[in-house]
Amino acid sequence: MDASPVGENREYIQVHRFQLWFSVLGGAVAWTLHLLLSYGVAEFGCVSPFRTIDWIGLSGVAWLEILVTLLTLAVAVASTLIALRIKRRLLGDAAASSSAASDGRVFMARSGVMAGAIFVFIIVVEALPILYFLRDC
Amino acid sequence: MKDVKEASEQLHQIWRKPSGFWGWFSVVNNRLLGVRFMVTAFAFFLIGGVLALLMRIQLTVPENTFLSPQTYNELFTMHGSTMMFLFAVPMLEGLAVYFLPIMLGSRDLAFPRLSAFGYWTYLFGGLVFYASFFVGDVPNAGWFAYTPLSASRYSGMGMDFWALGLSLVELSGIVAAVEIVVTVLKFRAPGMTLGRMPIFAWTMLAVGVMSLFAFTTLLVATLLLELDRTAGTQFFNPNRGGSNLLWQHLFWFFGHPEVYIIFLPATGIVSTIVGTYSRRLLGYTIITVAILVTAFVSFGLWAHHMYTTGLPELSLSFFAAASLMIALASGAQVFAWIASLWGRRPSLEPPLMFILGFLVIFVMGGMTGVMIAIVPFDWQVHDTYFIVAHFHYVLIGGAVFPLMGGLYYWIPKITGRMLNPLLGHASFWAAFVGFHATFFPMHLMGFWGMPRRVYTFPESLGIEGHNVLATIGAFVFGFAFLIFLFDLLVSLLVGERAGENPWNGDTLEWSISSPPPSYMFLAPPVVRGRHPCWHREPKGSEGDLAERASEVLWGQPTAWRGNLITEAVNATPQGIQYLPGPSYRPLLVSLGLLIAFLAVLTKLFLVTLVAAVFALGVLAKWLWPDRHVIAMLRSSELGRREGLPILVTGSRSTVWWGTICLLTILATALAALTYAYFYIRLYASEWPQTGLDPPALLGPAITYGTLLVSGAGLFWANRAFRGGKANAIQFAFTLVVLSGAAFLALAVYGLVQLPFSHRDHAYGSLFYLHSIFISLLTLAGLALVGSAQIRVWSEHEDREGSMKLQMQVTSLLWYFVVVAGVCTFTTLYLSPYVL
Amino acid sequence: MLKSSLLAESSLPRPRPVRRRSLQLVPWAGVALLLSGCQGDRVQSSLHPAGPAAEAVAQLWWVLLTILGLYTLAVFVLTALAIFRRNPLGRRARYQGRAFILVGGVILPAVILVPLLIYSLTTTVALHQPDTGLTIRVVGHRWWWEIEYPGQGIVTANEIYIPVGEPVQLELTSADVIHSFWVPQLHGKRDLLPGQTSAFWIEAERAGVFRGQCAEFCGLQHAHMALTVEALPPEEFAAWIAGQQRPGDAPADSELADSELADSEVADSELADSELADSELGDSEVADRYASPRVAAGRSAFFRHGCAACHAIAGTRAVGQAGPDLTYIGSRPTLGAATIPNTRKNLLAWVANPQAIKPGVNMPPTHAPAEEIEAIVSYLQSLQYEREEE
Repeated sequence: MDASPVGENREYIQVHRFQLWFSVLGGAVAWTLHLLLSYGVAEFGCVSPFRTIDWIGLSGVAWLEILVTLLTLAVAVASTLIALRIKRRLLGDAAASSSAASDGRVFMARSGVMAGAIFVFIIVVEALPILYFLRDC
Repeated sequence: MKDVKEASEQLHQIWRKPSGFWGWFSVVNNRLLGVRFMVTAFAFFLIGGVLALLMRIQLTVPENTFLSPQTYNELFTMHGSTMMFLFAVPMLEGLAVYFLPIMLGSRDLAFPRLSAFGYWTYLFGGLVFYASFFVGDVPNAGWFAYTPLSASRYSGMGMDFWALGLSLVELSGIVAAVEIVVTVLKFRAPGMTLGRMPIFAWTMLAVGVMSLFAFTTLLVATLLLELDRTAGTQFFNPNRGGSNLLWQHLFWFFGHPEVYIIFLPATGIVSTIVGTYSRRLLGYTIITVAILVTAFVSFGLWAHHMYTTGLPELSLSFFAAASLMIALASGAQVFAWIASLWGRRPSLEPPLMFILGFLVIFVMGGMTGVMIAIVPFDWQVHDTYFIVAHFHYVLIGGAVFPLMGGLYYWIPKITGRMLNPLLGHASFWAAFVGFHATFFPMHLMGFWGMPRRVYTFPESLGIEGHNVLATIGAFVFGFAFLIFLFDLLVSLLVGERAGENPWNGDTLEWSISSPPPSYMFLAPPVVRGRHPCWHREPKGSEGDLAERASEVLWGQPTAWRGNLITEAVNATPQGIQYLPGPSYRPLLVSLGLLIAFLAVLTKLFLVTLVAAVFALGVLAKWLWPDRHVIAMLRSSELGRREGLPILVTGSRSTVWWGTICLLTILATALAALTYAYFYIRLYASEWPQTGLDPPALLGPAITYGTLLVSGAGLFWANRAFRGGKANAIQFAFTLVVLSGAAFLALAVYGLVQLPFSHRDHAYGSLFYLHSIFISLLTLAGLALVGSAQIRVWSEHEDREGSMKLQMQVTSLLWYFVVVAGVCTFTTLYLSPYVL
Repeated sequence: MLKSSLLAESSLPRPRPVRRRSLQLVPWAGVALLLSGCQGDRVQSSLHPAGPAAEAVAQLWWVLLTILGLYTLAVFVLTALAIFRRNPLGRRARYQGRAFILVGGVILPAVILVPLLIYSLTTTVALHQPDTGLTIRVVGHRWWWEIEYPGQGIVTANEIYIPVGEPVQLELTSADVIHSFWVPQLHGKRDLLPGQTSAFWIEAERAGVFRGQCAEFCGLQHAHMALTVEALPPEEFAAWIAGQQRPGDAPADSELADSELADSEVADSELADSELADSELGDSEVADRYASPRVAAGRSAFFRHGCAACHAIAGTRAVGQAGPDLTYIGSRPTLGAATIPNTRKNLLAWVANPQAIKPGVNMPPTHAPAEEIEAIVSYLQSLQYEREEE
């Protein structure tokens, strides 16, 4: 939240708390959306006329699934990049300085980079099934 | 300055447990409640274990008649329900209730009375479960209670005991979750930033957040089931437009995270013990990220319990992918532990032995877990003994072994006495060997055709030998726990004194005496690293806020129970939180609920009503701000020093965070209900069912419009409150109350006018349930708004402190009611025109 | 035997990639032999596939076991090394540790799991419901299986006959609670849900009898809700269809149906102690089965004791729907949903008191003198379809 400085000698770098939390949880939220929407589209699409729509060789369901994947992937990638940026900003040149190590926000940004990367990977893997069901459920 | 002895005596006076027999019922201290949780849970564990042994005797030989089919079905239902709901979750909760505050360097949990309430509801829920034995109608539809087998048509009153007992236990799980989340975020020692938190606290934070979603979903599901059983609704009746798969979706949306709710704290224990024995923990950040990934992805696996129900293969494949990916998080943790132990020559004492046993068993269970995530493979082994083997590997291996390790590790802190290492080793080897003998053969039984939940099996399957081995193994495994109990008894009587830190542990619980004093810490310990007991890093500069806060609270406060509040990310001191002392109210509210539930069982609905009103009355008294306490706090000297206010507001306050948790719970419930609506709608051939017209729009638009008006009114009231305009506040509040009441009246009128009842079809059931849910929310909201109005009117205190906080909390809740109203209107009235 | 099998399991021989479709030829014979069972004859084993679907899944299992087994062994070895070796990591332990964790715990699993997912998806798609083939409707009841061949007008119970070498479409539904259809040697499971029909399929590559069992807990006698699937060569299958299509009890309108035969007549019958029951009824005997007064008496007793209220026998006025169809009960391999073999002794015990065999089953005991029960059983045993000799 609006964290106050821990290491007092350092100049306090402002990071908006929304940015900070998004950097940690953005990937996770994107993944959640990806799974729920993918499931919803499949559950709904596979019993509706949507599955029979054929557009450039792909069913309506497949198109929607691809759209969902691209959108959520974009969110996950954005969160990873933001986490990376926050981490660089907070650490600055003094990567090893003790005050940086004591700042919980550095830890959050660091986790954000790792979590974001993992969730990007998971979303990509989770999109693999779409390739097997391009024309039908 | 007082001396240490005087200060600790003063603190003890205010923190000690109430004396006498009746005092026992009013205890709110976390350590006492933690022990109660653990002892009760362990008792249920032993009972559940005995049930399992009886089942193993029955299954020793083909076509055995030791147990009747009826009894066998009852036993496996109770075994599963006991182990999942009455043992695993409460046991780990108990551990957290006891140790979380100590590890975090606080004096108690954030909401002490809520912990007591959680314990009583848990105990009563468990007793309701087992009361079914005295009625002779034991739950027998499995711990998963698939409809329609669990519907009133196919099972007796036992399932009512199950559903109602479970509801109480779920309630306990939910309040414990709120407790844990807020404690971890707000009650950390100054300087314990998120990056320095013990891993155990990380896992409990994740588990707390997960429980808010998972247990609430289950609570909604059991509510729907119980309504089907007693009120004649049709949610799960396919003949009246309901859906059986809806139950499975809701149940497993809880059921899969549940596994990780049990497993994650266990990994926290593992990280703690591995860290202590290897004198380091490598990959701290990786582990926390793994916890985060597990917490989220565990919600995306629910359908992998439903591979054989005929869902679209595309949907199944998403869940298969997610199920495989969660293995990455577990893999990272396993390798972090191996890396930490690498070359550190740890001494193989009982706590570590159990952890190593965990590693072996859990990795094997994890591999079978990966296998059954593969859709076609699961088609074969689903609902066979292969699955029985798998989940006992992950649950016993993944939770019971770490838990035993944890008990060997922490019992010296709780009792102040060491356990006997020889008996510990004996217990471990009996458990390890017995476990494999019992469950390894089950993989093969599954392949050779033994389904789950069968009370007997034919000789022709050719699995007698394996079943004999499994039964022998089960008794050896059970014996391990008798050894442990004997060890505990011996230790209590003649055990060696433990001292502060027998294992050279790194977390804060090892910095205080064993057993800890009632107030736990004389002053909030200032934390400067991940291992506060290992590296006493140099103090910061004199101006360090953490140091100053710790000084202010040294031996303070003495007139009331107080604890330091810190900021959620960096743990900088923010204020001092007043904590309530002993109280009977938690017990009374739980008793009211228990009586209300028992009355539902016996269909004495009038008694239910009276008991519910009683419980609500006590709850209102509990929640009503105590004027004397506020006056005392306002006059306290403590709050004037060092910028540490006592009556904090907004995100500094624990109450504000508790409210956020409550909103999460309510939003989850609303989401579950909405999901139920659209799920049933999706598979209905016509909507609304039985050829009804879609609901009219104009009347409901006016009804729900009044809610929007009330929201605007509250916005106005808040502005007037900030501006200090007394008359405008009252006027705005009156507008909120009147429009809220108008909504209630119109909504009830709308229900009365409906041309169908909740019994006619699933559509009717959903329509009534959604309308009643929003009405009850409004009623609760009105009570809050009304009380806020009265308080603002009657108390001419300044508009800071507790009154401002009450305004904030009331506003959060009422705005939520308005949003929920919009959602309900969209679902019930708009969606039939669109979808 | 058992002990050695467990030992063998924990010390896996070095596996090689599985290339064969046929289980018998899986290269690492040790584990294969162990899991295929010591007895060789496993009636309900998913590792003894007899059809393409089960075979694909069995092959999947061997691949999974190989890869994940190796990974598990590697983790065990690393754990042992971690505990018993001195620290080979130097001052850079933290960085080396992180690399170790990421490679072993994240990257390596990812490299293993992604191909597994692809393999899983390929198998899933390959096992997609075929479009052609005979259709059989399976209705789950507590606790038996109603089997219907809608195209052929055949109704039977707890036994399915299929032609070898062609896929068979199954329409699965339930009359009460959720059941699950599972014949492991042919395919995995599919649930039978009340109020909806699920499509499933099985195919047998060789002739034989394959046991199956309900796999979703369905109440009291879930353990005794089994069935048999017999795969017949196409000609034999056609003959079976033809035999089943004849009305089970030919002289439907004969006087026998309503005639009352005195108990004494049955008791006096010289057939009372004969071996008729256990002998296979030859063609000639079937033709004049009603010549036997014992059978005729049994038929009359069948109706008198209300059996027809729940059971149907094609060609008679027995049209009850609550219990299994008995049209050719005499030819069925098992009784009580594959609970016991269909022998005369078992059938006698079953008719007299099914509760003793399958407690809680919906069929009540038959309160009748022993001779009448003997007669009913004789009648039931006479209900055999004509096997046409090719």
